[in-house]
Amino acid sequence: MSSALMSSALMSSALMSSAMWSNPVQWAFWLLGGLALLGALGTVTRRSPVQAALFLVLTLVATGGLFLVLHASFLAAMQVLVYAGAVMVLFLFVVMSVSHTEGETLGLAQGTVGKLIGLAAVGVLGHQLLRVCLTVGDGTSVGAALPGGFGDVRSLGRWIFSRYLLPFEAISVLLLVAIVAAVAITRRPPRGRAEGEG
Amino acid sequence: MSLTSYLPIAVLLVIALGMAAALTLLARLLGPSRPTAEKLLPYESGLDPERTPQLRFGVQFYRVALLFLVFDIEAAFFYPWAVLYRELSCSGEVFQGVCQGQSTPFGLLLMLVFLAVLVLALAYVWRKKALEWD
Amino acid sequence: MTLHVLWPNTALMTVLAGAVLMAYVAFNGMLLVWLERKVSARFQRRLGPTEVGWAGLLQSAADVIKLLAKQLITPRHVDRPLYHLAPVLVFVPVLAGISLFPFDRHLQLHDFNIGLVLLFALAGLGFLGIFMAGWGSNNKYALLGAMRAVAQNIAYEIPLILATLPVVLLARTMSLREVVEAQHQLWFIVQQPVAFAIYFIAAVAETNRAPFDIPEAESELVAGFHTEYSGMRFAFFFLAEYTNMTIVCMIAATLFLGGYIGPSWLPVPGWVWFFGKVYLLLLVMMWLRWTFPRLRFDQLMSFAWGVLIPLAIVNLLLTAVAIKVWR
Repeated sequence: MSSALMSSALMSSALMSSAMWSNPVQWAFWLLGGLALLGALGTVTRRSPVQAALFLVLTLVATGGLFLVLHASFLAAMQVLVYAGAVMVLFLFVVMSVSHTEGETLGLAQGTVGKLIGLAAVGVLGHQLLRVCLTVGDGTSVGAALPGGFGDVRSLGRWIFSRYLLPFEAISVLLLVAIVAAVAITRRPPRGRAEGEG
Repeated sequence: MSLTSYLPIAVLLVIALGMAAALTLLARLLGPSRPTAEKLLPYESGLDPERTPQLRFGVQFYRVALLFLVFDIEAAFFYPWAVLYRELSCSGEVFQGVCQGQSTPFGLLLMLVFLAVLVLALAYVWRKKALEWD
Repeated sequence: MTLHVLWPNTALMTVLAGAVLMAYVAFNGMLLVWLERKVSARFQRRLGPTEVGWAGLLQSAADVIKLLAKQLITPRHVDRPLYHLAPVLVFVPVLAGISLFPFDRHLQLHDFNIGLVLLFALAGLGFLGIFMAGWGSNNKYALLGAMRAVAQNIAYEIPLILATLPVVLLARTMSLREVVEAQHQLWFIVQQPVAFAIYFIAAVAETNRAPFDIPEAESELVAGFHTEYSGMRFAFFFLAEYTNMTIVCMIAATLFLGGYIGPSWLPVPGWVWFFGKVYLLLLVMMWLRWTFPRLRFDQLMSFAWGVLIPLAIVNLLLTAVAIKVWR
């Protein structure tokens, strides 16, 4: 839910700006931020896991739109391609491979422990939100004086392949670990013990 | 690249939504509405369904989705690399696709390292027969 | 991006252009349905539609009227929000995708410098509608069809993306117009025949067409994920499918076949070249449908991961090396 947090942080920082409704960028920002929050709310309140997942898509796509507002066009496309596309497929396939009977909920936030974890998460996120709001400025100067080609694929690539070269190469190792782990935890038990599998 | 250049896409999305709504409404107005109990049953080739479908899908689907995610992220890095490839393989300026300075293997090497690890991953998946469907 | 665009970026013109594109999508859907019926018929030594209009050309229009007048059945026990939203969600991103292409040198809404990834991002959203339809229908066939469709789509999206990368390498850009402009001397299919082949095979699979049509294998799954849809709602899935076919062919024409570029000594406008190439590729897709038998699901998956993806990676690396050697 970090995207929802981010959008709400950005929203509240924009709240402080006086020239709020003066330009279309602000309009786009409020619309997208609102949609992102709406999606996040739907994600945590829907009982059907698939409906919740689809609200999450709304949040992810709206966050992609927020990237556009911030002049990061390539990131926006990647946000939609990777998160709303690939990550959602993963989520939905996980939902499909666990059992789901009618009326059953995901049951993650039930019980005292669950509530405590939820409360702690809210505390941490709230603290972060406040911190960002207090440090980020009023947001009116965004887009005022950006270098040419800011946020497009070339300038982004120049950063990735120079200053962030090591993290970039390390990502491939991270992806390798993810694949190995996925294969390991989903390995089917040796034959004979695999009863009751459908 | 200003935000307004994305406006046509937004407008088109709204038009498409509007048309979808309008056509559905039109179909609802023009078409008859005579629901019967039989019609409203889920279609199961003529048999009455005994219970709601509770299919559980095999874990292969999850594996495929994860592999897809990994390769999608990989592709996300490929695009800036492909656009900048000549610039990365050149010590000087690139003018109209021609390198003005020394040619360096940097662009090729950095992607070879990245790719080698992922090919390793794909080989591992094959070795473990994790993509076999049964 | 100094090339000027025919349609100025005013609000009114944008709406107008959107309406034109919408009309084209509807017309194109009807045309392709007619074409597919005619082509299929000829492959099977039949005539296809002949009665309504000249050579049955108005058959599709008659079908649209019929679909409009059909009862919209919403079966009981469906997940209503998902069930109603699914056809729309399948259809909307496809329509937005078609607005990104340069139909002619000066006929493009806006040339994004990330045009190619924007297309893939929009296309990637299509699976959502399919999944919602399958899940929301509360029907075994629909759910099975949707799961197969999504698994197949994601498996073939990777080779699709990997096959477009050599073109980006050669053209040094992802703007669709600049890719076309880079092909004045030579179409990229000449330099990248393997990439084109991989792309086209993956594209046929992405559109769930035969021989990759197991998501809606009639003999086992009735109609796949849209089993429970009737009338106009079914028509949306149909329209989305045909528009999707057109989009993948438009990408192929733009990236590999020189887009709106044709031999300069022929006095033919660019958009004729563009659409000529697109419809030629669409004909090939219909031809494939009647030539190859349907694959089994496991064959389909191992073909993507075991053949197409490794081949695409090797091809990409060879292209990079070749550029390095010959600059």
